[in-house]
Amino acid sequence: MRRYFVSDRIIRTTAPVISLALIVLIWSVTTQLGLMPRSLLAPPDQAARSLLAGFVTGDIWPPLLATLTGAGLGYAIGSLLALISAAVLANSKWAERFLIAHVLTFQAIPKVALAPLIFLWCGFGLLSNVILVAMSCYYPVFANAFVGFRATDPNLIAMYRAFGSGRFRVLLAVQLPAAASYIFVGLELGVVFALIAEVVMEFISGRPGLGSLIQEAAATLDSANAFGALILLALLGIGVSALVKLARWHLVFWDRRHDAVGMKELAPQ
Amino acid sequence: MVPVSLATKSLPDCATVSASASPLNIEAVNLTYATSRGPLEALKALSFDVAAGEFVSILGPSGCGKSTLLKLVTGLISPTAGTIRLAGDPVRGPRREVGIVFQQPTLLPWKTVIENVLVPIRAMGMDVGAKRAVALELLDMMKLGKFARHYPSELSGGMQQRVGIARCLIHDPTLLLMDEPFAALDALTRESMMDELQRIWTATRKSVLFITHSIPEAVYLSDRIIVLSPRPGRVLHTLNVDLPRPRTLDTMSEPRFTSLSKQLRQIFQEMPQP
Repeated sequence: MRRYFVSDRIIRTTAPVISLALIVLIWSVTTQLGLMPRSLLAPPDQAARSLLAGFVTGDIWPPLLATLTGAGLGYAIGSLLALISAAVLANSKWAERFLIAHVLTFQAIPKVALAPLIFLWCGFGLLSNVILVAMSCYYPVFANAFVGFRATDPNLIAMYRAFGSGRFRVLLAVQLPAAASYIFVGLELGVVFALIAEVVMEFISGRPGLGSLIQEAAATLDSANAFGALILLALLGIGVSALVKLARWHLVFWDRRHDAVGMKELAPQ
Repeated sequence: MVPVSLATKSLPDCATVSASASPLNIEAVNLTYATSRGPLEALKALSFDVAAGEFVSILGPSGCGKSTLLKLVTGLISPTAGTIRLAGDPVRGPRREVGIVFQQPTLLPWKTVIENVLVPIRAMGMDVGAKRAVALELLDMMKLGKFARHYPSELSGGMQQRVGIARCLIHDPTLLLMDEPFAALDALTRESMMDELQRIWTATRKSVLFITHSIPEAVYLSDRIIVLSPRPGRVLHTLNVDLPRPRTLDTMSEPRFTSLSKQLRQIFQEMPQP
């Protein structure tokens, strides 16, 4: 299903590349002219070189893997909990009545504010990072999945129920696929939330990772290294989001809308 | 909305059960919904039968409780009073001997056409393999044999609705419930679908309860037309359609067809406004 003309596709893919090139050019010119000292703002080529050097020497792997582990584990656990709770709340009037207010209240708390307490309870380690990451990406997945489960055609559910299907079968056979595009929107948003939480946790605890790498580099006025790690983080975010998009494209093949549905607002009822 | 269940259900005595084992028997059914503005009577003292192999249409103004009637017959809700029997057996929960066609095709977009036809079998938790041949046969009958491996999105609205009809036949139900199945189609497609449905009904001889807003549709297809009153819905009028079968599009211009349609239109005009 091609919806775009070729020329339109070319513009779509080249336009961001051109604007990115412009930004890098301005960045480069600013440093070349000495408007900013190199210790504060390293030129782009230096940042790239420092990142490359990290891969050549292998120094970049331990922090990269540490960040991936913390963010990845938390993301998986948070998303899974979100899916399960959304399925329960979307299908049980009583669960919704008792719990939805708390989910919404919890969403209103900036999760980062809980970091000191989590460190207090779980120590400065992987576990604390995983917990905060899980809490951070919980809501976008929950909200979208909840709306998706609820938006399932009631006639389809009625038909399955009329033929004697239990709730669990209806959930797996009808609601889960029907909500799949919603769920993927939540999963895509969750990637960014997970990375933010992981980096902030590294800032606070100093546990090795790309976040603490940036912090150390900035503290020692090594801006090239800081920018290198920053670029890697950006690539990580883009890459994982692209993977989620790709998964959606293949798994939810019947609904390949390009426009994300966006985070659905939950109105307390 | 939740139906109010009253403790005093008027239970019929067993003598009436054996008297008629018609596919569908509705007896003195009341249904009252509890709403935030108080009780709402959807159906009141509704009684009628559908005989074996009979095509019965329910014709009524919007809000006469037609969809409520469908939910009752499928056992998704229970009447406040009265009894609904399928083949003489009171309906107490979801029942498998009915097939349903909705206003919208209501297909699973992630399943192929043939898999959609097999959905009732899966929903019942039965073995699908044995029914695959039956599903293909039904699709052939609906002139969709070539599209078995296609996805619903690749089909037109009329074709999708035909898949819905094939699906409602897969488990060989004794009674078909059709809830304005052609309402969402354009006029030309609707006419050919009416023809198609008559052909399938003639071939399978299923009992049909067909819910519609359209007078010509009801006259064209039915053996008998039941006119419901505005809310609370009850039987206002019953009309036997004595037109010979098979009926064709030419039948629609015959004097008997016109007079029956006129008669129905008159009933609607004289109907008290809710």
